[in-house]
Amino acid sequence: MSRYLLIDDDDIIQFIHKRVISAADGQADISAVFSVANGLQLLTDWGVDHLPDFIFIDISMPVNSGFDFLDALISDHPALHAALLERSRVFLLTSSVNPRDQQRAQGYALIERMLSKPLTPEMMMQLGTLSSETTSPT
Amino acid sequence: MPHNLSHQELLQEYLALQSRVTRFSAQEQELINARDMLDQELVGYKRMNEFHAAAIEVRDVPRLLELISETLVDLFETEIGFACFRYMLEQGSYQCHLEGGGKYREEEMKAALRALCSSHAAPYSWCDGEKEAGSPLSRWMIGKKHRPGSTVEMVVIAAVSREKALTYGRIDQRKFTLFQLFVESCSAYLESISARQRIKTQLETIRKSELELRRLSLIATNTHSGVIITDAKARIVWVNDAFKTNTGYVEEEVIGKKPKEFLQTEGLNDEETLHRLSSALQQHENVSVDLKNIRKNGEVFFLRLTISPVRDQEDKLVNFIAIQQDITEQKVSEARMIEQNEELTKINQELDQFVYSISHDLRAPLLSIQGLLGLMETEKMGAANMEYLSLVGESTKRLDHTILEILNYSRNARLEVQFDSFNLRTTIAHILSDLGSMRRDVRTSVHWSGNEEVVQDEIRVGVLLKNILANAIKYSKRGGDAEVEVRAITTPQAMQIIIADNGEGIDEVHLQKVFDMFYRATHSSPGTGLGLYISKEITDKIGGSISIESTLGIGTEVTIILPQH
Repeated sequence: MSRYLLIDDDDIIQFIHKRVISAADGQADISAVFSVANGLQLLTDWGVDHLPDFIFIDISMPVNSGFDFLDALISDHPALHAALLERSRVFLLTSSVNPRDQQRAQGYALIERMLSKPLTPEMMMQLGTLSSETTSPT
Repeated sequence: MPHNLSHQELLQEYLALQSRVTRFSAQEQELINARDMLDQELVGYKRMNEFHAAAIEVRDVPRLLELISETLVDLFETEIGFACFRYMLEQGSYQCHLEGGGKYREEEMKAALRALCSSHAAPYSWCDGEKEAGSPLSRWMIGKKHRPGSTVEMVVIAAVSREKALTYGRIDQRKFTLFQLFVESCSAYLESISARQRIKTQLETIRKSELELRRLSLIATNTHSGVIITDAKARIVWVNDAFKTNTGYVEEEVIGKKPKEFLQTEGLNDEETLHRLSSALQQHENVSVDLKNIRKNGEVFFLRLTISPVRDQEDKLVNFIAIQQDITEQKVSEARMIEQNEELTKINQELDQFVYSISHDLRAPLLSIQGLLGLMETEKMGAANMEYLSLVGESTKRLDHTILEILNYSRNARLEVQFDSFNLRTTIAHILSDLGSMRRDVRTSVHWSGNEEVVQDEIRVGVLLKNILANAIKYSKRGGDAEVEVRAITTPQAMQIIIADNGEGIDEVHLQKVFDMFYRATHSSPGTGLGLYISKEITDKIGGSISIESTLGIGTEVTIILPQH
């Protein structure tokens, strides 16, 4: 069973993503939050020993962006960041077409790839084939 | 007579009488000779007088030399008269005139005379009989006159050739004295001619500089720029009307003052500019600076001050000429332009942010719709609904595509070009992989020559290639064997990328217009008509060129040439 954390302020896209993930992974345990603050809170509550296998995070969100989330991890939660680097696969999932966002995303070690919304069954399959050797068993 | 004289006595008387007669006749002959000589001299002096009358009218050296030569032959009854004007430093540079010369050729005779000129150093000498063996000259008189400080020398020769020596009169001290007298007066005329010429030249120079001065002062007086002339210590000696108008001062208020004493105040101009100005003035160099000055009424104005030192013939500094060009308007509009530019940059940035935000907000729900459609396709549904859904899917894709193209267009139009080094081959590979889902049946290949690293605007090149490649894939051959080929050649200066498909091709009628805004060559597939227009705009912006060739039924080839930066 894999655990997923979705951070996105758009409830419809959250709904779609949950359905696509569930369809690809019947045993998925999905947690969805609508802000960066809630995402960080959830990760802190879980602690370094119970981190999710996948994190999908939107870039454009009110108050704090996806990049703010990454910066906060690096500066305020270094232990969590280190643990995430080791155990979780983190993706930026966005509707942004700004090439600068693409460039900026490459600067974060934690980000495996930047994906275009919406998440599709094909993308989930791709992630599955890419992941087989790097996914840590839960 | 007493009769008592003896025969003897008579004889003695006779003999005494006879000797007296002889003595008288000798005295008579002497008197005759003396009279002849005087007559001759009189003729000589008369001839000299004629010469003076003629020589005084002569204005140029060649004519004077001619006159001297003619007079020599006349005056001394010699066979040859020769006068020359010799440049002492440049051997062989003569101005001369030869009169007479008998059976000798002129050049031969002149050569002999020149030899005579240079072999006698004394100012005057004469010879009555052959001295130099081999010379055609036998009897001669020579006179040389050289003005101190001058490089020219006048030489006058009267001579008789060896052949005619016996039939011509002798040359004696008396003739020689007359000759000396003659040469002296020749020299005086020559002197006066050259003095007259010197004066003429000087007058000409003065006339020219007067003219120039009049022109210059006309310019200085009538120009719109303020003109100041100062003495060597930078005190004003003259100002033009424009200076008075510009500054509000009148002549009496500024003459004798230094400009900086009343045109500037402490701290009005920056130290560096003032230092540049003062050090240039100290070193007597030309200088041009932009300054702020104050008018009499306290108003500040901008001016470009150009100062030139003026030196006299001895290279001593005598004046400074300063020209003040009022550049207040220029400075004000410059400042306004900078302000407007900053404003424009700010607006551009805001607009860019705005376009991104809007496009994001437009796309987000659109992407949700796409996602939902994807989910619905997995549910059980009637055939009609399935078809409607796929049409809705097509429409959302098209709308999304349009939003992206508008975004690309606005990006290219407003954002500064930014050159970076990047791997072009990797960029092309990424684009091809992204476009892979468009049509699975198209085979793509990349052929490379040269370095893969290039320096260009990475983002723009990405958009450009994506547009062209997307077109190539979209319009490639239908029904099997679809191929898109990329051929890239890079050099240190430029890169050429050819993208070829084997699709239906474009009719020549349309080919001209494919780069036009909103022009669409086909109705068979959806599009905004912006793709190639944006590609052309981008190519122009990054200094490259794009061209298209097509054959119906064979395929289309787009060639992009971009400079490396």
